[in-house]
Amino acid sequence: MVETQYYIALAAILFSIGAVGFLTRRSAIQMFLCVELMLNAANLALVAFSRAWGDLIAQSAVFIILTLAAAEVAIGLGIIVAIFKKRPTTNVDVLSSLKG
Amino acid sequence: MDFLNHNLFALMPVLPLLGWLVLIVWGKNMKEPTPGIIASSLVFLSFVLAIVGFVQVSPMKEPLLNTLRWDFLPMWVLEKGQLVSKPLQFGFALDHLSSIMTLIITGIGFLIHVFAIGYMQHDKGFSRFFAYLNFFIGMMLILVLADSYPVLFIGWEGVGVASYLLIGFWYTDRKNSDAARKAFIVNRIGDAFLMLGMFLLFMTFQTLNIHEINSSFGSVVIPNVTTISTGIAYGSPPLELAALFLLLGAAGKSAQLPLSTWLPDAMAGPTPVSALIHAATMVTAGVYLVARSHGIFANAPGASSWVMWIGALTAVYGALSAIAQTDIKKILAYSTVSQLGYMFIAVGSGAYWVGIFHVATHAFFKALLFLSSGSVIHALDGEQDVRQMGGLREKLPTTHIVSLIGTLAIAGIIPLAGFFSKDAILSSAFTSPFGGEFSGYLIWAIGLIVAFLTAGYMWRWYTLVFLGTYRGHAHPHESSSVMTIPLWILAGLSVVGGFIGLPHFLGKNVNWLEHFLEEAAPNAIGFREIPIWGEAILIALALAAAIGGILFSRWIIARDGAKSAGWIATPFGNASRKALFLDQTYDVAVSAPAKFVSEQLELADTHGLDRGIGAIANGTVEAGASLSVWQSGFVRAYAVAVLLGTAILVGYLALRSFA
Amino acid sequence: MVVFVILAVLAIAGALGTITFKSGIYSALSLVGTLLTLAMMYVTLHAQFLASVQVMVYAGAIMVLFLFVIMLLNESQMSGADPLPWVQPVAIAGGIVMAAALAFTAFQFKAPKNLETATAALQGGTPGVIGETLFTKFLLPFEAVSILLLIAVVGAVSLVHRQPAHNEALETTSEHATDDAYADEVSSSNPAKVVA
Repeated sequence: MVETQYYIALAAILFSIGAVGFLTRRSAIQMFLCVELMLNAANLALVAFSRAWGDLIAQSAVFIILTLAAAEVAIGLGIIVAIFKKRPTTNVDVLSSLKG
Repeated sequence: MDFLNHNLFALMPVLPLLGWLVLIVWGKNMKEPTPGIIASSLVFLSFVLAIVGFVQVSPMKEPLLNTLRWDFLPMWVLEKGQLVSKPLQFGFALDHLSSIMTLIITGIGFLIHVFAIGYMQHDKGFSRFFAYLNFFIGMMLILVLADSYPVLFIGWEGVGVASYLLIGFWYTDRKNSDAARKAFIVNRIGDAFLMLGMFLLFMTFQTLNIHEINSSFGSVVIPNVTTISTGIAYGSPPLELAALFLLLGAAGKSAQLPLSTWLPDAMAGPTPVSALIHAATMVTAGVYLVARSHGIFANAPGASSWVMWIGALTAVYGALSAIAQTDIKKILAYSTVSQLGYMFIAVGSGAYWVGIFHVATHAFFKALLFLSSGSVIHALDGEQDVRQMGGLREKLPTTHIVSLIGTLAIAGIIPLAGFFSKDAILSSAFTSPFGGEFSGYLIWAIGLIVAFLTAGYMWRWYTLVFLGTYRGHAHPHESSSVMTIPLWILAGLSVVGGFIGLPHFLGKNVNWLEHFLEEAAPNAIGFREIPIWGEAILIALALAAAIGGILFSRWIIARDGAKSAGWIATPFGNASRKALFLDQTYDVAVSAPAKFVSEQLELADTHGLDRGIGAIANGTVEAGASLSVWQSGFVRAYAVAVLLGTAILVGYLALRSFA
Repeated sequence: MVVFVILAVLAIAGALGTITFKSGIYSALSLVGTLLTLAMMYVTLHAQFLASVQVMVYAGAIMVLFLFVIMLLNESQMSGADPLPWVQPVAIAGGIVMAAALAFTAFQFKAPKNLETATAALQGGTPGVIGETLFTKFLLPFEAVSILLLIAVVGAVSLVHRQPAHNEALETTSEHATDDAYADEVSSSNPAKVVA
């Protein structure tokens, strides 16, 4: 049986990859994919802790997070489509009119 | 006569204030005579109420009261070492004294309203003028009907505002609005002292109700014996000080020295205003205040002699300044200052009815003179320089006759109004219980000189305006009847007005006014008795002074010609024309240092404060601008900041677990 | 351990593919790979229900939605210079620091229980036991999430809805409804007219 620490370390690596991707990609959709990756990393950590404690609460929380992710994707993609209708691009660097 | 059982007198100030409200809101939409008719009729209604109040109050000993159950001033007093709430209620009181005043205010006020309908025709601010006049009448009635000093103060300030608005009525001219501001500011000095006086009175008496304060002295005051109810001794310091504060307040409103300079400038307002506010009513508020506070002044001999002396000096000052003026209204203005000085002599001497007597007669003849000069100015299309007048006797016959009556009345020629009131003043100064015998005689002598001067400058005024040949260029025309009828009525009052206060030597009970006011404003105790023949001699001397003044004036004018050029050029004439350099003295003593200080403060402000504040503001802006670089608008730039922050935090936690 | 290493390598490879592919479709497919790997990993962690949900909801529904939007927008690759060139090195450095720190912290974790007994308590993470937890301890969050999903659906619809054009069409048709000849003429070309 693999120790919990390895799963957590894997989750940390996946999360960091997702974060770096979020920062380096310029397409809104790809940034969104990276956010999903980070969410899944967190889910993996939760499931690993669930096994470590022998408790199903964390697994239930993961289920809720999955549902939230579905809702978030629906809204997020809706926003991207709405923006795309105004400006035919998903480049977030173009959307910089809110500056000081 | 059922309505006599109701206290309708409190409606007196309400009606003109209602007119003010109506005219200020809807006046602009009214055709020309309508606002004047509304305003005049409302003042006439107040006059009717004043008559009703007079009839009601005549047989009574106590004042009629009309108190709102409205605690408009919360006050606490110390009783047996504990603070007890004793709020002051908003109330009006009508007694014999205020009844006389309301008759003067509403009666003269009504006549002047009617006159103004003619005088102000074709003026752009016609309805505004009547709105202000109504406001003034309302506030003046509040002043005289007040049952406590704070309510009186409301009216006091209200008439000040009305005076300010009406002096600066033609505000587009810088000179007029400057005059209005001067009047307002000088009045504020007096008001500050009036407030100090109120505070001191409250400390001393634990109340500000005028009638309570006056009655707390008891009906008989014996010098040097502590009065019963309050423990306030005759002539004790708090009493004297409060009386002095009230005196300074009164001096501001009544243009007494040293606060007299605003009144001549106040002639910048329309002539009906000069007649109503700056001759007949508002400026006499100071006299009324002293008479109203007779309990305090009768028990403050020091302050009372100050009142007399300030009055005497002001009387001389005004008379000397009036001699060489060339503006038809300025002569009358300085004359008003001088006559107000007379009134102060009267109330200072302790004979309060005499002061009110002169208030009444002066209101008659000075309103008459002002309105006559208004009629002259109206006829000459705005000309005010007496050197450009003359010979108007034929052109303006009505105005000429009433002016002659007014001139003789103010000069004190028997049997016109001024004769009786002036004699009463002189004899009351001669016999006054305050300030010692010598001081009384001296003030009497000053009063006699002033009577001589008064007759002199008034005769000069009359001669330059009406006698001789016309020296101007306008085409004079007699005023309409709406203006002449008030003149006739005032002339009639100037003739008969003196008979309400006949001198004693004609019999014991001939003096109606003194008897009428003996409850509301009793004389101070301790007047020196003089024999009947002594009184007669005093009167003869006063009459001689008046006639002498007229003759002297005739002689001077006959010698120097109508323009009296040679005479004005002398140093004395110059001093008189410049009003004894009082304005210049203030410029040097007050304005110049104040200006210097303000300039230094302005320098400090612009170079010190403004720069400092500007530097703070600029620094904030710059700091903000430098921070706003972060607000680039790029989502990734924000996100990378979040990532770095998280990395640093997590890294710190990891390193800490190392240690 | 061997299984774990294989799965971990696959997951990391998928994740790196997600963030490196220029094309959105390749990127999304790489992420699908990672998600499927994670689903398998859930099985090794005794979370069978979550594993199946992961496959169905994430790898299935969500990723299909992504691919659908990518194809709908059909955007070519990012053009123009990166306005924030400094972000990439900083992000990579920060990411490495964070990953290292988190991994380091992860190895500080002390197992609170014996792993065998704890695993047994999970009963395999089957739908029955998960459902029991969800409908007892997690009832309120569960209902709240259902409402959230409803809101998300309504929000997504309203975001991409074309309200004004629709109203205009309705008004034009009702305006001409009284004019029969004209209505007949337009009815063939205007389907909304039939509804009206």
